Amino acid sequence: MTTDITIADLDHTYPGATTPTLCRVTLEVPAGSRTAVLGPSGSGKSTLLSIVAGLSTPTGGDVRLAGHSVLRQPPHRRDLGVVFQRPLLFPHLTVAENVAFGLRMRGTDRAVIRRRVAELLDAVALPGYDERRSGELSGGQQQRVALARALAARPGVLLLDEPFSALDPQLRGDMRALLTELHRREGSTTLFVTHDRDEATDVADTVTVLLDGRVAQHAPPADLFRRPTTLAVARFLGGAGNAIPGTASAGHFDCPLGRLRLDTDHRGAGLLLIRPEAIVVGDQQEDNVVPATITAVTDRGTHLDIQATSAGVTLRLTTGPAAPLRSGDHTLLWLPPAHLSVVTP
Amino acid sequence: MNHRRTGFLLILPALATVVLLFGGGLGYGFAQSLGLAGFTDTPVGLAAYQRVTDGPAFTDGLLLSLWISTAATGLAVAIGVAAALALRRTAAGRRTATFLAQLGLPVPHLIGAVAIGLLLADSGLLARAARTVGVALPALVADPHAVAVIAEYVWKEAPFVLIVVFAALGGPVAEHERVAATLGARPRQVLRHVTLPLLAPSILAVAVLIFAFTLGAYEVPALLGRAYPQPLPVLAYQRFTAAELSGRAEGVAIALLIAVIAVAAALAYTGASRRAVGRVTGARR
Repeated sequence: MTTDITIADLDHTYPGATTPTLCRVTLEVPAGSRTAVLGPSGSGKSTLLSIVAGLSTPTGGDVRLAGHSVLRQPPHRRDLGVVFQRPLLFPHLTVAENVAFGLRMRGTDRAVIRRRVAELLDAVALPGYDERRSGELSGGQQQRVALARALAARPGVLLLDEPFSALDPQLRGDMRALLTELHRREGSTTLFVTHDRDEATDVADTVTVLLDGRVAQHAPPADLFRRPTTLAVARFLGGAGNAIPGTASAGHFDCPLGRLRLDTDHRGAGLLLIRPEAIVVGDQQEDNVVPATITAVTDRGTHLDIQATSAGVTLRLTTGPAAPLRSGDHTLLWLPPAHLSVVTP
Repeated sequence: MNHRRTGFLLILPALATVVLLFGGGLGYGFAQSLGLAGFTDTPVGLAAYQRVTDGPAFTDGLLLSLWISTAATGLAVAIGVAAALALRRTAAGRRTATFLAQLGLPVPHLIGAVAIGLLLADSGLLARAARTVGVALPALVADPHAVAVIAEYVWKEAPFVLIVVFAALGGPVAEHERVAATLGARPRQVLRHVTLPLLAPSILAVAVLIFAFTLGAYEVPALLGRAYPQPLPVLAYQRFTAAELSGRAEGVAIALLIAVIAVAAALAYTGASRRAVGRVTGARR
C-alpha cells in the first residue's frame, strides 16, 4: 500500500529563534515515488522530515498523508517508517526482534512475523543474522537492519534522514542501490533527506532543493543540473562556475560572446549559466560556437580542467583526460542550447 | 612481563590502602569473632556464631531486616523511576527534579530519622492533625511493620534513584523512544518495550546499592524501630557494646553475617531482577 504526501504552506520557527527554519514549504510527493529533499546543513530539511514523521509540530501549514491531515496524529498512528542518520537499533533486542518490533506492537501473528522478518533480512542481504545483537554488526549492517525494521510493517510512507552519510563512500553506493531495489519490491512512498547531491540524484526520481527553509526548485535530477532556476540553486549544485552577464530576449541571449540561441522564459538583464561539463570542444555545430584561447590546462587524472577566454570572458570547462589541448591553443567551443539557462543576477 | 610489573607497581598504592584498611579491619574482625584476637573470653572456634544464631532473636531480626530492605528498595525505586519519567518532559520538571534531589540528598539519615519521628510518632504532627479531624492513626513509629523506618529510607533514597535514572535518560533513550513511536508503538508500549528495558541496568544497579545499604544501616531502625524484634545491625551494635566480654565477638559475628547476607541477597536479587526484566520485555538475556 502506498500513500501520497502533501506538504502545504508549511512554516516552522523554533521557540526563541528570530528567523524561520521553514517558510511556506509546499511539496507534492506522488504515491510510490522517490523524492529527495536536497539542501545544505541548516536548510531545514531534517526539521521538515521530523514534522512529516510527527516528531515536531509546525507553527503553520499542513501535512496530508493520502489526503488526510495528520498534524493532530502522533507518530505511531501515521503509518510510516523512519530511518535516521544513526541506525538506533534497540540494543536489548536481537536483529530479528528489531525487525519484528513494528509488527509485534501491532499484535501481528507470530508465524507471519517470522516469515516477514526472514524475507526482509534476505532482502537486505543479512540472512542468518536473526540472533545477533546490534553491537556485533558493522555500521552498514546496522543501517540495513534499520531499513528492514522501518519497512517491516509495510508502511505507506518511508522517511529517510541522511541515512547513509555516516557510512564510507563505497558502502554508500551499495546502500543507494539497495534502497532503490527495496523501493521496487516494497513500493512505499519514499521521502529522502540529504545534503549529498549524488545521493539525491542517484536515488530519487524527483529532487526538491531546499535553501534557507524555502523550496528553491523541484525537478527531476537531470533538469536540476541542466536548468537551475536560481543562482543559489546553481551555486549549491556546483554549476555557477560559468556565469556570464547579458540580456535575455525570446530565444536569445546577448552577451560579450555574441548572440547565443537558447530557450528561456527570462527577459532582460540576467546571468547565463552553463556547467563546465556541458561545454563541447570542436566546431561540429553551427549555432552557439565561439572562438576561444586556452589559458590553462590542469590534468586531474580522470579529466582535464580547462580555462579559456573568449571576447574577454573566462570560461571553465572539463574534457576527457586524453583531449589534445594545450595552453595557448586556439579552438572553437560549442555551448549546447539545451544546457544553457538564464537566472536573475 | 615488564609491562605487567609496571602495572602492578602502579596499582600498588591503591591496592595497599584497600587491603590494609578494608581487608585488615575485616580480617581482624573475623579473627575476633573466632575468639582469636581481642580481649575476650570466647573460646577459639565458631562459638560466637552459634550463640548469636541460637534462639528467635536472630531469625526474627533477619526477617525484619530483609522486610525493611525489600520494601524500602521497592518503594524507592518505584517512586524514583515514576518521578523521573514524569518530570523529564519539561525544563521546569527537570529543574524540579534536581531541586528535590538536592534538598534531600545531603541530609544525614540520622536527621531524616528524627524528622520522620517528629512527623509520624504517636504524638507527632500527623497523628495530631488526624486527631483534630477525628481520625485515630495506627502506630507508625516502633510498629510491627517498621513503617517509619521504611518511610525514612524511601524519603532519602527515592531522590537518589531519580538522579540515577535521570542520568541514564540523558543517553540515547529518547532517540530510541522516537524510533519506537515511528514504528507504531503506543506510548504505553514504548515504556514497556523500550524505555524500561533500556533503563533496567541502571535501575538494577541502584536497587542493589539501596538494598545493601539499608540491610546494614544502624541509626534509622535504632531510632524508629521497636525493642523486639530488632533488625540485625541494631542487634550487632547492642551485642558489641554489651557489658559481657563475649559480646564483642558476638557483635562482630553478626556484622559479618550481615555482610554475607547482603552479598548473597544482592546476587540473588540481581539474578531475579534480570529474569523479571526479561519476562516483562520478552528479551532473552
